[in-house]
Amino acid sequence: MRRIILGIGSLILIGSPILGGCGRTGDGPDEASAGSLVAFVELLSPYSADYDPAGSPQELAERSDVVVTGQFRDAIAGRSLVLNEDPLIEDGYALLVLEIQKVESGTVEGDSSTVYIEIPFAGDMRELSEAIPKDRTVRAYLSLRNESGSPRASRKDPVDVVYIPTTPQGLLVDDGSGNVVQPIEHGSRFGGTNLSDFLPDDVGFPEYDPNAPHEE
Amino acid sequence: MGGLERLARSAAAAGILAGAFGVVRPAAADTFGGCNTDEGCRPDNLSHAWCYGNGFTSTALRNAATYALGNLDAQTNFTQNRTTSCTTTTDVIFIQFSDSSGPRGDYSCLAFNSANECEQARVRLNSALLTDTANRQKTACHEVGHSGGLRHGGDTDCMRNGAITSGFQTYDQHHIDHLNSQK
Repeated sequence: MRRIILGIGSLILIGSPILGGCGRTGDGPDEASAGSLVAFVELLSPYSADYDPAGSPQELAERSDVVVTGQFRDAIAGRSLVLNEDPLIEDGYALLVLEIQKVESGTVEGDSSTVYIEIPFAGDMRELSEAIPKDRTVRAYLSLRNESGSPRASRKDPVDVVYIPTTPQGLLVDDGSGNVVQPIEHGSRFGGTNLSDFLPDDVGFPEYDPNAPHEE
Repeated sequence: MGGLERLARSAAAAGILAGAFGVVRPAAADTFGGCNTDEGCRPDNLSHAWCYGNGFTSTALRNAATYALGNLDAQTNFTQNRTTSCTTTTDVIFIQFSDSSGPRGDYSCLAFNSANECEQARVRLNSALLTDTANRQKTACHEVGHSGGLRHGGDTDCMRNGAITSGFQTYDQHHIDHLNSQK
């Protein structure tokens, strides 16, 4: 029953990325940090993926190399791929720097205190770095990037080990106002939840349907 | 969550659910094209020039891209034209990659004009996961739909997420209406 109620709440919030912020009280996060999360999500909105949705955090964990909880510390420039040589057209990526507070499952490769999470990002890196919500708790279901066949990189990865979110479902931010936000999938929200609803052994997500129509 | 807040959310949800589970999704009720957290990125015009980017050499993926643009042209008011070379004015650049943990494909707008319309986008297709014609065409249709301004939504056409066994390689009327509603 609780899942259903939470799911109903999430349906209201789909398509209303700042609604949670409108209802904040003095007990909630400060305006600047909440604004950062909204700005962060907005900056990621020119990206969309076709992916195989996982039916539960458990399934997502099984498809992931590692699941961690932590906080963002920065966003830095990642690789840049050359889509066309002349004229030069490039495809940029960002690395979200996540300081690990707890490894929920799996083993972190390399530096066990930090993971670098790649997302396609063609925008202003400085804006992304300023917007990244450093005071929010993040849960990340991650897979090692193991990519081949891509165009050559004019700028290479600044680190040796790069993770990608295991589908857009794999990056979850607690907004501090009773919502969990999935920033890659256009700021989709699970209303009335927190990250304790997204642990690797959970057999169901709060009832958010990533294919749900965006009715207003 | 407090009782009143929960009640308010549930009451509001009833209206949302009524729309969400209706048979027809009226295009006018669906936000579209603003390129923000709710809405897809509207392209700068209805003429889609596209090209093979660096390393887009897979014949199967090229065929899927050709199918998807041809379908966009056939189903909507968009026209398409593949150019032999990519330029800064090409609307969609296709590239390929292979990663069994990655997305099936993805779309990213690389450049916007002053009206916040997407001037140039790239589409990636994942050869590790797109191993049959039906899925290649479905995902190419999906990503080209993003390049036309669509978000995900519904479960009846290629804008749904994930693998398919057959079908889902075209746009439903709701998405056609959206695509055709542009200038």
